[in-house]
Amino acid sequence: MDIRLTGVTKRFKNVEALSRVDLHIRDGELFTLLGPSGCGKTTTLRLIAGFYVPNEGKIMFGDREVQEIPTSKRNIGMVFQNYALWPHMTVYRNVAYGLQFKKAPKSEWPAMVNEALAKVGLVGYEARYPGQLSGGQQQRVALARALALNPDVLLLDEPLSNLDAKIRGSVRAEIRKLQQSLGITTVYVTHDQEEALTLSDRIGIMCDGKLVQIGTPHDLYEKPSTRFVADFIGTNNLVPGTVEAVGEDITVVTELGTIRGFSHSAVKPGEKCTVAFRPENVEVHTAQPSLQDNHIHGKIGFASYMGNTLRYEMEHPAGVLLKADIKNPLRHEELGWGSDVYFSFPKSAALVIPD
Amino acid sequence: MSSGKTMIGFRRWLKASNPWVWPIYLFLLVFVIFPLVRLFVDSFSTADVQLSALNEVVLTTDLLEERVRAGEMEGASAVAHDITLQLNRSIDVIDRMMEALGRATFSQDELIAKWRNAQDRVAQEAAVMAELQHDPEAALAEAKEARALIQEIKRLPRQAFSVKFFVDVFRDRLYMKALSNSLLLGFATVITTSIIGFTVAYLLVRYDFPGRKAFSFLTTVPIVMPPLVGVLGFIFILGRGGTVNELFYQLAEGLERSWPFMSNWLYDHLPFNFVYGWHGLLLVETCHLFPLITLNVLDSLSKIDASLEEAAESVGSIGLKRLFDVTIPLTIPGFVTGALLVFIGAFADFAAPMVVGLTNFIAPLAYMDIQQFTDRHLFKMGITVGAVMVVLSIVFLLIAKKYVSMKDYSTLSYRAVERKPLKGKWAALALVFLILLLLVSFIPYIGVGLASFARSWSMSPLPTSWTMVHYEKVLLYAPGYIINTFQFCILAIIMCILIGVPVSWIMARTQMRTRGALDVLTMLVLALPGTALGIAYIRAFNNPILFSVPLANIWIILPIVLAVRRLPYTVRSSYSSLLVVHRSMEEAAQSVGAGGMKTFKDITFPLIWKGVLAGALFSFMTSIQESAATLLLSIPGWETMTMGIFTFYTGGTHGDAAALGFILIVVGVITLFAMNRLSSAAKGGLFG
Repeated sequence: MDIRLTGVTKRFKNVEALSRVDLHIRDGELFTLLGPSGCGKTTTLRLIAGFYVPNEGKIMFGDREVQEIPTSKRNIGMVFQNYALWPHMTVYRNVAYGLQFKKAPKSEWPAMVNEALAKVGLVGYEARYPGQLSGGQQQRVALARALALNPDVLLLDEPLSNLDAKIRGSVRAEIRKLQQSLGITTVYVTHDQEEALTLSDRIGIMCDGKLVQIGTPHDLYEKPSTRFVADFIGTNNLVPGTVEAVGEDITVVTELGTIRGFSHSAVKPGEKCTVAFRPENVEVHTAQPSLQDNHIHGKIGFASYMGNTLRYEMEHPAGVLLKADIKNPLRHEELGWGSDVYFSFPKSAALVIPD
Repeated sequence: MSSGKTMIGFRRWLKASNPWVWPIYLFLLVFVIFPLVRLFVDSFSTADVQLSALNEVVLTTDLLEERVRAGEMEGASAVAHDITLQLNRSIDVIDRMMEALGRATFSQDELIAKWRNAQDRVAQEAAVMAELQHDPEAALAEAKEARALIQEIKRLPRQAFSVKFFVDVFRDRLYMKALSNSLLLGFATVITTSIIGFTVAYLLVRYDFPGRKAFSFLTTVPIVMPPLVGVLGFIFILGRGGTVNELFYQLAEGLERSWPFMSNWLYDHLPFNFVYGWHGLLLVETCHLFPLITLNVLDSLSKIDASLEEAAESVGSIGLKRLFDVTIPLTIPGFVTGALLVFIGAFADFAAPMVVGLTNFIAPLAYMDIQQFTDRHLFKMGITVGAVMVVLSIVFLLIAKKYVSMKDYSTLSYRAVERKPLKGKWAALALVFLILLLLVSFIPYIGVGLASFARSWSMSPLPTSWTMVHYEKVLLYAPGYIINTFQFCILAIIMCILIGVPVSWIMARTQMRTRGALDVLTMLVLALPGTALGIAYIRAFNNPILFSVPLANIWIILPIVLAVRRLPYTVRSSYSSLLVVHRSMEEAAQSVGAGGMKTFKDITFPLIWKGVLAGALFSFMTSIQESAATLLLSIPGWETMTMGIFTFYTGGTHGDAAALGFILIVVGVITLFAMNRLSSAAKGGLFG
C-alpha cells in the first residue's frame, strides 16, 4: 500500500514542526526519513501512525484518507525506539494482544503468534517476560508484535538506536531481508546516515520541518541538491564561492582560488554557490602536480588513521579545513604535521551546488 | 459532506477541550478555591453586625396585623409597644453597623451616610410608634410603613473591605505569641526530624544490616498516631505518674537499704519530667513526624545515579565531604517536601500542646475562637487567624516551590548505588540507634494499648486489672464513631482516586494549559493546615446553596473535606506511577488496534494500579487520623473516631478514648503495611 502526504503541516503551540510536506512512499518500498534531531522526521512518522493529527494537509493510505482516523483503525505496525513492550505481559501476550482487534478467531492465535515469532527467530521465548530478554531480543519481539497483524504499513522509529554497535549491523540486515520478503511498505526513521544508506530503497532528507531532498541512496550521495544534503550525507569538503563562467565546465571563484567543476543544475555566472568534493576523490601530493584540474596548497594539520583509510586534514591559510582520504595507508608514507602538501582533484569530482 | 466536516470539527474541538476534565475542575473550584477565597473575603471585611433587631420588627408587625384582625386590641397594644422597643434597638444596631463600616480601609462615608439616613427614618418611626401605642389600628398602619422601611434598609451593603482584623491579629500580643510559638515549634521539629529522618533514610538506602527490610517498614509506622491519645500514650508511660517514673519510685524504694545516697537523690528528684513542656512537645512531634522526612529522602536518595558519586570520588571528594557536597544536595527535592509536611504538621497540631500542658499555640487558639458562639469579634478573629495560616502556608510553599513541584522529575532510569554491608560494631551501632528510635516512637502505642485494656491504672507501672469493657463500649454500644469513620474515609479515597487519577493524568500525559495550575493547587492543598481548611469550609458552606440545607450541615461535607485534604497523596503517587509507564506503551497498544478505553484497561491500568492504590491507602491512613478539619466541621450524629476520642477524653473516660485510639492505630498500621507491599511492588514508589 502506498502512502501519500500532501501539504501536511503540523504545529505545536506556535512552533511549526512540519511545514507543507509533500511525500509519496511507494508500495512495498523501504523509505527512510533521515535528518538531525528536531528536523521533523519523528513528527512525520507519528503523523503517519496517527498519534498526531495534521493541522493542514492530507494523508492517504492507498486511496483511503486517514488523517482523521485514529491509530487503532489504520492497520499499521510500529516498532518504538524503546520497544514499548508491555512489562506485565509475556512475549506471547505481547504479540497476541493485537489479534483480538483483528477479529481473528482465538483458536488461530497460537499459530499466528508462532508465525510472527518465527519471522524474527524467537520461537520458544513465548513464556518469557520482556524484563528477562536482552535488548536485541526485545527489539525482535517488538518487530514480531508489529508484524503479527499483517499490517499495511510498517513504521520503525529509530529501532536500532538502543542496540550495541556490534549487533546493530546484523539486526539491520535482518530487518531489510524480512521487509523485502514480506514486500511491506515500510517507513524507517533514523538520524544515522550509514543506516539509511545501507537499508533504504529511497531516503527523504529532512531539515527544519521540511523535506529537503528525496532520492535513492546513490542519488543523495552523488547528486546532493543542497549544501545541507551534501554536508549531511557522507563526508564532504564544502567551499563557498561565486560562479565565474559556465562553459564546458564551470569555474568558481573561492577563497582557495579558482576551482573547476560541474553541476547537475543550471547555474549562471555571478551566482553564489558551494563547491563540494569528497575526501576520497582528493589526491595528496608533496609537489605541485601538473595533470589535475584543481589543486590547493596548504599544510597538514592533522592525520587520523582509521584502519582502511588515512585521513589528512589541511589547514588552508584562508581558514578553511579540507579533508583528504588515502585509500590504502600501508602503501603510503605518512606525512607529518606542518608538511607542505597539494590537495588535488578532478573537475568531475567537484560538484557545484547553487545556494 | 458539510455535515461530515462539522462532525470532524466537533470531534476535534471535543478532543482538544477534553470535556471529561470539567467535572474535576468544577470540584476543585467549589471545594478548594471557593472556600479559600471566601475565607479571605471574610477576613478582609468589616465586622459582621447581626440585623436580628430589624428582623424582629418585621416579624412583630406580622403579629400585630394578626392581632388587629382578630380584634384583640389589648394584646395588639402590647405588640405595638414591642415594636417601639425593637425599633429603638434597631437604632443601636445601625449605630454598630456604622461604627463597623467606619473601620473600613477605604472611606465608606457615602454608605455610612445612607445608614445614618436610614437610622434617622427608623428613629422617626420609633417616635411616631411610641405615640400611637394605644391606637392599634393607627399603629398597624405605621408599623407597616416601618416594615417597608426596614426591608429597604436590609438591602443596603453591610460590609466593606477592611484590613482591620488582619492587622488586629498582628497587633494582638496573645495571637503573636501563639503564632511565634507555633512557628518555633515548626522549625524546631523540622531540625530534629531532619537529623533523625535523614540518618534513617541513609542507613536504609546505603547499607545492609540484619533486619533492614523490617526496619524500613517499622520506621514508617510512627506516622500512625491518633490525635490526643497519641500524646496521651506518652503521658501514660512517661508522665509524672507514668510507668517509667513509677519504676523509678520502686527502684528508689528498693535502694533505701543498699544505696541510701542514690535512693535519697531519686526521692529528691522524682518524678522526672519527660513530657511536660517544650522538650516533651518536641519529643512527641519528632517521634510522630520523622517518617515524613525518611519517606521523602529515601526516595530521592535511592534515585541518585551511582555515577554522580563516583564522579565526586574521582575528583577526590570522599567521605563526609562527598556526603555534604554531593549526596545531600541531591536529596534536597525530597527533603524539602518532607520538611514542608513536617513543618505544617507541627505548626498546625492542636492537640499535642494542650496535652503536655502548653497553651497558646495558634491552631488551638483559632479552633477555640471558632468553636465558641457568643463573641462575634472572637469568631471573626478565628476566621482571620485561619486566613493568616493560609497565607503562611502559601509563603512556605513559595519558598519551597522550586523543589516541591511534581514536574521536572529527576531521571527515571538510574543505576542505584550499591548497598554496603555493615559489619561488627557499625552494624551494632545502627541497630541500637534504630531500636532505640522505635522504642521511643512506639511509646504512645504501648501507652494507648495498655490504657485501652486497663480497668484501673494509677500509682503503678502497669495497670493492675484488665478489662474489655472499653472495647465493648466503642464496638457494641457506640459503634457510630467507627462506622462513620470508615464510611467517610472510604468515600474520601474513592473521591481521591476519581479526582486524583485524572489530575495526575493531565499533568503527566497532556499538554493542557491547566497543568501548572493543577500542580500549584495540589501542592497548596498539601501545605494547608487542616484547621485553616476547616475554618474556610465553615464559612463557605454555612449558607444554603442549591439545596435548602447548608452543605456544612450535611454529612457529605466530611468525606469531601477529607478527600480534598488527602488528594495530594493520591495525585503524587498516581503521577509518579504514570511517569514510569512510558507513553509509547500506550501508543504501541493503539498501533495494534486498541482504542482509548481498551488501552487504559489493558495497558495503563495494570501498570499503575498498585501505585495509585498505595497512594490512596496513604490517603486513607491519614484520613482516619484527621482531627482538625473534621472536628471543626463535626455534625451531631455523624461524629468520627477522632471526634469520639475528643468526646471521651474531655468527658474523662480515658479508657474509651484509648480503645478508639488503639483501634485507629491497628487499622492505620495494617493500611500502612498493605501500602508498603504495594508500593514496593509498584515501580514508582510512594512518592515518585
